[in-house]
Amino acid sequence: MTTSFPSTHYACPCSDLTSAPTPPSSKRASIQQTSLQLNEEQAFNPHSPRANYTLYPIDHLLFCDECDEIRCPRCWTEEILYWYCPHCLFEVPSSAVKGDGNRCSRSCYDCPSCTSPLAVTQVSQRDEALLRPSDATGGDETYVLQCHYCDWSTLEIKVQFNKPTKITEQLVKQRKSRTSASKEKESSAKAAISHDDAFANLTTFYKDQLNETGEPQNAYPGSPYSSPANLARIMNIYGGLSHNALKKTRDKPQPMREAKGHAEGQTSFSGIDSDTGVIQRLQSSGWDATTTSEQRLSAPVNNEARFTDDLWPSATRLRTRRAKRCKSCRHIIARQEPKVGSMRYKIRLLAMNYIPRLSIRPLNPTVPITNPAFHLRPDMPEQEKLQPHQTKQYILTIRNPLFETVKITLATPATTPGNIASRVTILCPSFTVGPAGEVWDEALSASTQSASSDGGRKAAMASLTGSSESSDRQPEAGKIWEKTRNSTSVIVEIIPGSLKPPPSIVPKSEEELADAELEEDEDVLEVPVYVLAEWETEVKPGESVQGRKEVGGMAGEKVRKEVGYWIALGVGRIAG
Amino acid sequence: MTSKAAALTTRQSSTAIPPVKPRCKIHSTAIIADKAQITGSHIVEIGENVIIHPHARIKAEHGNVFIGRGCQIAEKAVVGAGEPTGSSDAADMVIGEGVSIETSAVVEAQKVGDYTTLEVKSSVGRGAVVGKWCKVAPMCEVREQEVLEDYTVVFGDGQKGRRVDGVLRDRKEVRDAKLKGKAMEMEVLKGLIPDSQMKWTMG
Amino acid sequence: MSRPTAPVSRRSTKTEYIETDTGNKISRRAYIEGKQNIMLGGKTVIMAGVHLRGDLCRKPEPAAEGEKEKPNTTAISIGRSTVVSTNTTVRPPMRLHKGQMTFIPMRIGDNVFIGPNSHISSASISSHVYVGANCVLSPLCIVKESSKILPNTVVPPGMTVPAGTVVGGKPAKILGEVGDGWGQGGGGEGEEWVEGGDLRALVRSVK
Repeated sequence: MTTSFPSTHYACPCSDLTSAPTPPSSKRASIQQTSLQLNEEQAFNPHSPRANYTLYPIDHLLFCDECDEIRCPRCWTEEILYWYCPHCLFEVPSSAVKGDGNRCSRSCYDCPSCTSPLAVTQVSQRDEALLRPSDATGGDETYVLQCHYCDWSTLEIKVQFNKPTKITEQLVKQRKSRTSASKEKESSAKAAISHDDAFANLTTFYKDQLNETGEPQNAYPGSPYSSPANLARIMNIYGGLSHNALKKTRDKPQPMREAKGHAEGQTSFSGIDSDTGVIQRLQSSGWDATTTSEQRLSAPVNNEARFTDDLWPSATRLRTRRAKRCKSCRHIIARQEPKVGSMRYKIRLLAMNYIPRLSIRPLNPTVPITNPAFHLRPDMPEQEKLQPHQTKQYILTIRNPLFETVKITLATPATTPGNIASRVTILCPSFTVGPAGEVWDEALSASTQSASSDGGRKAAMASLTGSSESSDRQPEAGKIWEKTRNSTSVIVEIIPGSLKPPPSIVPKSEEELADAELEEDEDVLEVPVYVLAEWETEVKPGESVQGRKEVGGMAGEKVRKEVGYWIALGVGRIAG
Repeated sequence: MTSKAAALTTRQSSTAIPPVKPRCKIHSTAIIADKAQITGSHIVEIGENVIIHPHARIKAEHGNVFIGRGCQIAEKAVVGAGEPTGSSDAADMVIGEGVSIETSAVVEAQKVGDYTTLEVKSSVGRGAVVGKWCKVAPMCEVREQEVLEDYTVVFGDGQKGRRVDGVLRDRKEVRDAKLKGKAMEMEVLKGLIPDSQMKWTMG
Repeated sequence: MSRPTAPVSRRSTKTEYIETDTGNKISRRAYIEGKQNIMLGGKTVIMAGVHLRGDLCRKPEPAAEGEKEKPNTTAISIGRSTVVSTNTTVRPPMRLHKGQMTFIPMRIGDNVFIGPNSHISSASISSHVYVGANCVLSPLCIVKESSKILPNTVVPPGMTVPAGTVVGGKPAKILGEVGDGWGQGGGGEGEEWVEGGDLRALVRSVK
């Protein structure tokens, strides 16, 4: 669903919501008829809540040429090509990623108050030495991390750095010195210890425990028994009375115990007394000075920060570049170059290069239709709403990216599914679209080549001579509106339904009135159309013929291929 | 928008739109670009070392405008009180020293404190009082009659949009660094923008 | 910058756009300062109300012996097939460099669409970028190629927008990535122009 019209969204046939409809009579031949009526229940309902997750614009869909099927983000798996930091754009080798906690280990940090990137800035203690070249001053230059958006800097938490590189090290050092200083002040055992220390203590404690209970390290990582002890136990059950096996069963393993106390890493609740300080601070600074859960979760060091004054900058999280692979045949369908920042693709199988593309526009536009993404002026007209019960005609254009002539069959339910029933009629639901040849083919061949359609040639002649006949043309049922080299246009008549139910004499109850209220975006008129494209292609010698859609499979023979999918044509909003 | 339409029709001459010339008192070291626009019938006072970029608009139509030393008003900024919405006092506007008003900012405040920065497309409503050393982030707004304390930073989507910048308040050297930065900016701009304040002071 | 050809018009009304010999279309209602410091790549459109501050350029160092001419400093350089929509401001950013405050020359790549009412002060914008309406690109930010900046975003100073990402909000955050088909399919025979795609058809249609 978009907020700008007209729009076209494509649904991948992977889900049962968007699979091909079965015609009322089960024979295949019925599809060849001119108008295919679908039941409303079989039709794809773009207003259903699940439809949100199945409709994609054409540039988000890929195509697997092995399976000959559309692939949507649910039908492909992603593999990570590389990790990079979005601020410094340096690639991080995947081995180092886990150790760094999926964060940049260079000097890239995010501001805790506004999450924009922090920059290393120089700040000097002495006024006169400001901003002079660095050779003028001695060791008096200090650096801070500064946010240029909200003017937060590490001076707020009283942290400064001696050198502009290796900020991470300096930050860690400063934090350690700060927690050790505070630990010295509060010598009671109830004091909470810092998160990093607790983690370190916990890991050493549990490692020791594991060693004590005698679980040897797993020297057989691939073994299905997961440890030699397990293997021995099972062998014991099923046979073997070797001395070693018997000995092991006699030694009962020590039960592991949990951590106790700070030395072993346990953090304890700090007690009621220390809260009075926090409460006083809360009273003086107010609600706005407390941290949100997002701020607390930004970094482990911030997990217990209650006030925004205690927030430390968090290292920037790394991003990945991923390649896409078809789930069924494991073929790579999209893959970029492994260089950071390069948007060139080694493999890119886009759906728009394999399936016909449809677009809709009004036949007689009252306002000039502009692509809403490209509004050039601020005073571009608002899209007008559709009036209920007024017939409007639209031109539906199909563009064919393949090099063969494609036969298209369109099917749409007579009334749109959903709460608001608009009537839709496609005047010519079955037609052919020419091949997309090379660019010079169009220049070389005359326009007479595409004269095989009804009404198309007249339109071509009319447009060539610039006569005004084209404006007087009436759309006729069963006839194509316009045909060019690789696109065909037909007329669709749409009668928008009314948003309000018809007034009735019987007064409605409360529940009925509540039901009748429109939900968000229900007034959007989206027409579901099922598109079936069939074409014949030659099988190259040596190519194996797969899939279940073709008839005959010898090399050099013509093979019939087809692809079918639902689309949702966003026409506009209904007024009322 | 309507004044822009008027500007388009009189595009041939590059002077201000309405024929009423304000009473200007401009310091000799101020730099006012040729295409800047100063309109209105009230007094406009411009202090020393002020730089007014081309196409900046100072409207003294509903009240006087006093601009302090070292200010910078960027293009498309609109400085000046708008239509009075019922309150009777004339809206005089006082802009402090070193204030930086960026592109497309709309300032209708009663007072803007010293060394404040109003970023691109920010807006300050009528009658507001902005303290000194404040910063209003791009596209953020200060509502009418609102009072901003000194050293406040207005940013973000509005949820946690206010912050008092303690660093700026407590550390003088940070403020001095900023002052130095502003001074250097003015130096460079002075060399690049030709002055034509004569247009407004003579005649 | 290529000089505009003298409009040979026998009509009494002037056209909205001056067309140069390299195909650039510059609106007569654009406010351009310092046009000798502005380079347009060819077939780009500068629409009405656009402020181009070419006067904010780096002053070159004075010639050594007075023999060499001062090289022409470019303040703003825009690539091919780029569209700068109405009422945007393009202003080179300022930076402290070696103790001196200087203006950094701006580079805008090819096939960049800049939406109306934006303020562009970035250090560089790479090719095939879509910048929505009402955006603010603060000084010294960098926008890498094939990215999309949603309308009404404020990109904070110094932020780098990585290639192929979608950013939005104030301050701008990375919200996701562009589709694999970004920029494909537009500008050819089809009537639609696609975000990030070839903008030649859009440039031709601007009148």
